[in-house]
Amino acid sequence: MDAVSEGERPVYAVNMPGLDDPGLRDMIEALGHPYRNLADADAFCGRVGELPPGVILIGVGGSGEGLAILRALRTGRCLWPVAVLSEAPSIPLAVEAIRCGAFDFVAFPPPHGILEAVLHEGFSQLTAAVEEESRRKSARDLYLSLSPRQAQVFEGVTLGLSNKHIARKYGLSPRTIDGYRAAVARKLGTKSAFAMLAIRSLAQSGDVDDG
Amino acid sequence: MTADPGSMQKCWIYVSESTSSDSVRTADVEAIVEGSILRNDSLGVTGALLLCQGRFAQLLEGGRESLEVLQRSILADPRHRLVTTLADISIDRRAFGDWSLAYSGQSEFFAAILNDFALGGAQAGSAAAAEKVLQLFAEFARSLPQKSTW
Repeated sequence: MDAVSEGERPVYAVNMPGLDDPGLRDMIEALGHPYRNLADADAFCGRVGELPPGVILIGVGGSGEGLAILRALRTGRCLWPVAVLSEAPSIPLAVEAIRCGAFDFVAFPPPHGILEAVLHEGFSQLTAAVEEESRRKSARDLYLSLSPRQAQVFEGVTLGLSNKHIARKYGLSPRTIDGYRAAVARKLGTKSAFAMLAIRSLAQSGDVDDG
Repeated sequence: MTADPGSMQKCWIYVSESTSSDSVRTADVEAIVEGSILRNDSLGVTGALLLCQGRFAQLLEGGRESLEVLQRSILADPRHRLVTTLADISIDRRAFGDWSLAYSGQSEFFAAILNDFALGGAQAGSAAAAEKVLQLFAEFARSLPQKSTW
């Protein structure tokens, strides 16, 4: 993969051999964005956290093959804007792409002027996406810094349980729960149950629902 | 979900255009969604709203009286114009488990579908253009959870 300097905001094309065309590269680079066409989607998904944030274009076949890349990115907590391009566009595929988290779905080859508009929209969403990723990561780091017992007390507090109730649930004294609760408040920087709920919600955003 | 037992149920689908010169602003979208959830829930109305590049498309289903209340209110809403009915039919069962904003964004693909049903354009109201909007709602009905998780 070509190197990308810090501060640059690239366009990553994944699973789209057809997009490795000089005209397209020139068009995207004329918009001021380095263009990276990546054949190896798995490698991209694995390394995406180390790359400069950018807009991602994913090629998807008529049966939806390629959407797994988008799902893998979101499961891996990458929120960068993704547009899906397909040589076999259809309404079911478009709806599925949006449900998977794409901000747009475009027929390939894109009609004249469409890709510029799509990239413009993608880059307009990029900063907010990176900030949201960062907020979720901070919340998750805070959550993961809790010991197992602190995490149990934290869960109890965010469920609105009283210290007495949490104590009963884990066979501990309310005084002990007081101590854990104070430790949790110190680590998270807040005593507020509402703020803790917000941290839990952010920390768990994007988790696959296995319930 | 209240299903209006014993009373006739209807489905109304329309496409309209925002009166705002720009695309609908985020704050406006939030206000529309918040108001719609409260109102539709109180009326026992389900369905979905699509917002794309200044166009609205909405499917609403529920009891005849509830839908008439909503129709009057929507037709008088100054936030949009050129309300074009695509379907206003009796139904046996609903497609959606609740009401939600199914899509809000700038998707060129969805915009093309809504524009094909162009308000005032050469293709206005054509059967093929209407069919695509209906298929879009059918896909969202299939992919959205049938019951609200809230």
